[in-house]
Amino acid sequence: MGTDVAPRTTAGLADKINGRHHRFALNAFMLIVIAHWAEHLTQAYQIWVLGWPVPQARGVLGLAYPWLVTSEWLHYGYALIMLIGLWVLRGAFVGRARTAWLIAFGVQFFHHVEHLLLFVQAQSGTVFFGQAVPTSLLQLVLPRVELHLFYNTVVFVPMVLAMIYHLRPTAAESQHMNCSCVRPGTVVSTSS
Amino acid sequence: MVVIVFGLSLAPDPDPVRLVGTFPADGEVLAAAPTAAAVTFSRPVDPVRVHLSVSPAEGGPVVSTGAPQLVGEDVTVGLSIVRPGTYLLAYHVLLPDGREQTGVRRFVVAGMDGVAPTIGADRDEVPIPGHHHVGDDLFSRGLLVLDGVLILVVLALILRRPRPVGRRRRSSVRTPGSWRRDSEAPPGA
Repeated sequence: MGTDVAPRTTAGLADKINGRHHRFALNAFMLIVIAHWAEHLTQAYQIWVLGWPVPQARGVLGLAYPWLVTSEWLHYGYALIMLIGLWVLRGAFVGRARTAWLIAFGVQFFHHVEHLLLFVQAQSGTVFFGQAVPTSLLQLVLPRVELHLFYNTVVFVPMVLAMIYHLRPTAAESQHMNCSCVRPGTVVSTSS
Repeated sequence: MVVIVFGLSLAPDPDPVRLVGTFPADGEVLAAAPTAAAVTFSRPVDPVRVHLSVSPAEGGPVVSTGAPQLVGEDVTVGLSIVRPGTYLLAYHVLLPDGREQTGVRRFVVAGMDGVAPTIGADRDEVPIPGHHHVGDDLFSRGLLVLDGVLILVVLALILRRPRPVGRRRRSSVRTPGSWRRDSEAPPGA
């Protein structure tokens, strides 16, 4: 009665994402990341070039949907998407790229916790730590407006490094790569 | 856990400065054009940064004039409203302890009978705002310049997959992923 039918499992899906679909998945993920940055760069343009006050500089989405930017939903949602993307796509990264990618994941995990704290405070109407406004952990010691911009940057830097290493693997790294990002049979970097 | 314990152990200000109202208040309908707008705090403040502006809701140049002024518990700015309509009062105040007060209020100027209401006539409760990611300080600028450069790098990586520098025959580097383009001729073959 034994039949060898390969079960459809989540591991299989993860293998596909980190195998023949990794290039597409990684590009799609990075385009989401760039779209997020485009919003912040638009805000910067509105503040520094157009001279708009910070509360009115809501990027592109915020002009059409002001509630989206002034609520914590968008911030927390993006932090969650980042966390999921970094986790799901990690399998294809090897060597130096994997190290950089996992550093980005680790920082993003803490960043996500910070956003979760802000989200819970905003949704429940209860402010933690005896503060006057919703406050995250690091804001207790570094109460700066650009703290989360800093978080996003320190996540983005290792992500970009991971991409560079991933697309320019050493010979040793290339031996362990099993995704569609780099052409087969080629070694981009001879250093190891 | 250490960070949480540290955070919880920080002694909070028992009576932190808070925003108690704006003038005009959100949703207020004024019979005459106000000559000034204000945000009012629970006690006198000395903000690090203040932005206070009023502009027509349908767009157009700001109608607030000059730089915001500190007057006791109020931060005020002069207005030059010459026609009825709906206006947006936007404020952003960075307090010395790093906390921010920010938001947008909408009010309506219904008529032009020349009577200017008094600042502080109405005070409204301020909802809990979302936080901002981008400030107008030098640090934010530096971060965004760095991020702009990184975005260009990522776009270059996405749009132009790097060409191999050193190539080997496929037979010499038979990677586990070589299944994926079996029909492709190896580079240099």
